[in-house]
Amino acid sequence: MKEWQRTVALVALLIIGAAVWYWLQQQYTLNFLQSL
Amino acid sequence: MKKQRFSNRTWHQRLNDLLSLLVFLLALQLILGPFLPNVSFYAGQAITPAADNTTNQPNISDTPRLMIPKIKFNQEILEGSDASVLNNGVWRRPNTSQPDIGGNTVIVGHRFFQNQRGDFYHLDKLAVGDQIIVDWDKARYTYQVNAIKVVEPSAVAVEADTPVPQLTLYTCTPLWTASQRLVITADLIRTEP
Repeated sequence: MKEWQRTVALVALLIIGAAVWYWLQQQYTLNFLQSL
Repeated sequence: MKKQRFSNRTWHQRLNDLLSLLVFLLALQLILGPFLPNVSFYAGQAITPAADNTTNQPNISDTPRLMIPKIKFNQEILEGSDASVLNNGVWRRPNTSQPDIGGNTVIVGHRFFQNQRGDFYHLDKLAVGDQIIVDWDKARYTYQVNAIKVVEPSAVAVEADTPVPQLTLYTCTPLWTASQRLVITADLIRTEP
């Protein structure tokens, strides 16, 4: 695997991880507030 | 591929090393982050197993305050008509009673919020018989936990008024989700002065 391919893959993983993190928080907060 | 010494690596390889580390740390945070406060909680208990008396204020607070000695919780109870109050602390549900009136006083709080420990993170550590103290309108109300249950978010009956004075605390469970509610109910056992 070339270095630039590795860079693209790692950046993609970071973006996906951050998106999952953000999505989890939104799910938690929205679900809690909506059911109050 | 033969391993290179770090000093011999190109700037691109070093950048990829750094990105790999960031991916690893992000994954670690995602998986372990929600549980880390438990580690510090139980570690603290191992060092000081006795109940922490500093949680209890000797003087009755002028502002509404909720104190739970078992989990070293001591915070102002926030009032308001909008759920956004929860972003700043624990919230007495305005459609429920107050300690000085009797009936069911309901206080809610986040378990986990913005990737950090919420106000009620340790609510699951409470057990039947534990005490909860509420300072309200220059009086102190001491409650004793009588039941702990997990219900669906649709179980609005937990906020229904009761014929006897009762305190109800609830938050989300299990961690990382808002799929169910952890509900703690407590009977009034003492009023001061």
